[in-house]
Amino acid sequence: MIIMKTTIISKSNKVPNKKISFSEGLKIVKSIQKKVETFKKSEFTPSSPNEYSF
Amino acid sequence: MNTHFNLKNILEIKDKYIIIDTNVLSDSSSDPEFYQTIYGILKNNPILIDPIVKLEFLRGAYIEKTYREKSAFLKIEIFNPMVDHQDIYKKVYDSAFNIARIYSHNKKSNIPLGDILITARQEVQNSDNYYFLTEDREDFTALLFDRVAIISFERFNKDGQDYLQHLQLLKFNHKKFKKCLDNLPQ
Repeated sequence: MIIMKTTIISKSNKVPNKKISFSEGLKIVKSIQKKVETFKKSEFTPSSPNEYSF
Repeated sequence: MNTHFNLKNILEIKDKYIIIDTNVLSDSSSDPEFYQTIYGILKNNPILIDPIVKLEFLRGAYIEKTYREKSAFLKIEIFNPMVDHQDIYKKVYDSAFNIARIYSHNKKSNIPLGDILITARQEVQNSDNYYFLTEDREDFTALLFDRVAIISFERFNKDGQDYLQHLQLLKFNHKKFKKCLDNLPQ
């Protein structure tokens, strides 16, 4: 008996395998930088996720 | 960004592999100036990402969007994952036990596990072509490494006061490792 398994991966979890150029990377860095700055300005609460505290 | 380093040191390691630590990866992912400066200085070097560094970098990402953003950052063409397979795992684990023992016998028993594994992989590489760039001066010392260069960045804190951020470029020294290993109690 052949059992077929189907794995469902939601689109949101996929990270494209394609390489990103250095200048495209810079856009990602700028986006992360904005979030880091917002995170640093935000008031700390014990329940806040420590997402951008690098 | 004002940067201070010896160009001769950087030219001497042209084309050599640079393994970057999590602190360097994190800073370059969140500071455009740092990103452009550091990879400009190392433009003639392939940049390698240790699997442990990748794990440390991604593990804080609880929100899915952050995880995707950080994962996308690792897809930048300058980053190359280090070769990893079952034979390497075994060698890395074996080496990690030795490195942990060496640190313990040199009054450094609190080295984070991740840093032991990062060091172990460099011991396993056993090549003159690998260098390690880190901001961490506590867990990566001259006990097992040679300090090849220092790159200093002039930075500003949130109050506008300047400070220096130092990155050290290290090379695993197999002779030091063997000497430390030989000095362990039998």
